[in-house]
Amino acid sequence: MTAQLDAVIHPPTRLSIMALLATADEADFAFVRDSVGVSDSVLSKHGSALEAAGYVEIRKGHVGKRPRTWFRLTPSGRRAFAGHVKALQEIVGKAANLPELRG
Amino acid sequence: MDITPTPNEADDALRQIRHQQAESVRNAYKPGPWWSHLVLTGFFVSYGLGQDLRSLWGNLFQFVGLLILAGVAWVQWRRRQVKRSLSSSFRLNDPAILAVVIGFTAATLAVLFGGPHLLAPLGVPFPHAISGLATGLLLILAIPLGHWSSRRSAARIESGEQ
Repeated sequence: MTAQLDAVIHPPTRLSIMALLATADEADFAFVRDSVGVSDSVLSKHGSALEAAGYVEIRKGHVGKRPRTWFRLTPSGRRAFAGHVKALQEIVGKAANLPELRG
Repeated sequence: MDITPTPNEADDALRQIRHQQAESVRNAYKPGPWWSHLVLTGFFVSYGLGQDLRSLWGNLFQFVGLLILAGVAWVQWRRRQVKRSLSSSFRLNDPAILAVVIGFTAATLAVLFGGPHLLAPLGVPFPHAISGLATGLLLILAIPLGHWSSRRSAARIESGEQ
């Protein structure tokens, strides 16, 4: 079966967020923002889009009196990310097998 | 809208994913503060003394040990709330890291539970407390292992092995 590219996670920022979350059980907002290198508002926007697609679960809570937000991938988010990565690998693999591109 | 990337774009995207994940693994590892190891050693020694003394003092040491353990659990829970946690699938899908983790855990448990049985027949005083101290020292030795496994995981991800 050919893996499918996913339009929701295709933009580079969302791909970075998904890649980061794929390594984590859960990650807090500040860690994701600093690692991906985006502003609070950009992360909120992309986080909401991924949440709307059912790929990311956003949990809000408090540590002491400070409000915090955590992100985690949902099982369907993990599947979508794995499928997207596989599709990218297939594109690269096919190109590597083209006779004119082989050394 | 067709989002199919060219092979070069796909290759760049895969490289971006690997870089992001390696950075995440690198940044996610943060050893506990140095005193947390002393506190855990204190727990093992205190609880061991409680086992060795078997008196009112023994009960007191055991109670202090349990208090320490409860404190450590609470601190860990607080840290869990503010930190990112590395997925277990990323922590444990490297056979070398898995072997080291299992080996080290087995060695630590052997020292903790087997130590007193080995020391007591030799007439060594406070066998449980000494075994507890040895266990605490073993946990301190584990600090560089944490750094090593984090660096190894990041390198494997970046090279595309993981």
